[in-house]
Amino acid sequence: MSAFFSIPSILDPELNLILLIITSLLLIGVCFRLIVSKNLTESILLMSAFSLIIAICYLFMDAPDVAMTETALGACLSTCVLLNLVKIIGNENYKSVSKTRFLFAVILCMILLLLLTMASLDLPLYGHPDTEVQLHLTKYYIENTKNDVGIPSIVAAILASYRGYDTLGETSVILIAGIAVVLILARRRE
Amino acid sequence: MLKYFSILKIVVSFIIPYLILYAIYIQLNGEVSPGGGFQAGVIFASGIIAFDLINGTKKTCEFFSQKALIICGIFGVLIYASTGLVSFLFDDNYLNYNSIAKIPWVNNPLTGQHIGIFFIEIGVGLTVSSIMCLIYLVLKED
Repeated sequence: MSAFFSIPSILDPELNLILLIITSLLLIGVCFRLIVSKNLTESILLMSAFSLIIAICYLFMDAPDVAMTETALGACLSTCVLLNLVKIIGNENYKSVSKTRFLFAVILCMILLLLLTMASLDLPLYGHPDTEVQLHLTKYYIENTKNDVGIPSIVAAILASYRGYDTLGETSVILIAGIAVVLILARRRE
Repeated sequence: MLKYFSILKIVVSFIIPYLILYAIYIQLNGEVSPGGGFQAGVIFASGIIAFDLINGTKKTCEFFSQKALIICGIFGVLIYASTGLVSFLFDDNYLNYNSIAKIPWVNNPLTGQHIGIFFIEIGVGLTVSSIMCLIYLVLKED
C-alpha cells in the first residue's frame, strides 16, 4: 500500500504527533469561540472552520477518505445550505440567557467532561497494534483483500465488496432523504 | 452590492472545471487511491454549487432542474441494484461480483470484482451528487 499519499508515512512519528496535538488545541480554541458567539452567521463560519481543522486532524491520523468527506460535506456543502437558511430566517442575535440557566449548563458540562475523561482511561492507546480491534477483523481484511478482491484500496474493498448490502442501504437512505426534503419544502414556492 | 464581484466571478469560474475534473478523477480512481463514489459525488455537487453562487439559480435550473436531479438519483440506485442482480443469472448470491467472471469474456474472478466495484461506485456517485445539489437548490431562496 506504499502507493498511497499519506502524511504519517512521510513525516517522523514524533513530528506527526506534535502536529496532531497542535491542530487539536486549535480545534479546542475554535470550540470555545463557538460557545461564546452570539451571531448566527459567525457560528456557521466557525463550524466551517471546525470542519476544516478536524479534516487536517484526520489527515495526520492517516484517514484521507474521512478527511476528504469532511472537507467537502462539512466545510463546503453544509455551510452553503446553512447560509442560505440564515438568509431566509434573518440574521438575528440570540436572546441573552439567564444566569441560573448558564450555571446549570456549566455544571452539567463539567459532569459530562468528568464522565468522558473517566471513560477514556479504559480506551486502548492510539495506534497500538495489539488492541482488540486490530487483532481480528482488521487483520482478516488486511490479509485477504488482495486474494478476495484484488484492489489496492482496502477501504473501497470493504465498502463495495465485503459490505455491499450496507452501501446499497446507505445510497437508498440518501435518495429517500432527498425526496423527503423536496416533498416537504418545495411546496413553499407555489 | 459587491464592489469587486467581477473578480470573484472570474476566479470561481476558473476553478469550476478543475473541481469537476477532480471529481471525475476520484470517481475513476476509487479503487487505487483514497476516495470513491461518495466523495466524488460531493465534490461534483460543490462544483455545481460554485456555479450556482456565481450565475444565479435561474441559470442553474436550466441545466439541473429538480425533476432531472431526482431522476438521476433514482437512476444511480438502479445502477447499484441491477449490478447486484447480475449474480442471479449464474445461480449465486445477491451482490456477489465473483459471478460476473462467469460471463464468457471475463474469466478472472478478480476482474469480475473490479467491474462490479466500478459500476456500483458510479451508481453511488450519481445518487450522491444529484441529491446534494437537490437539497441545496430546494433550500435556496430566489
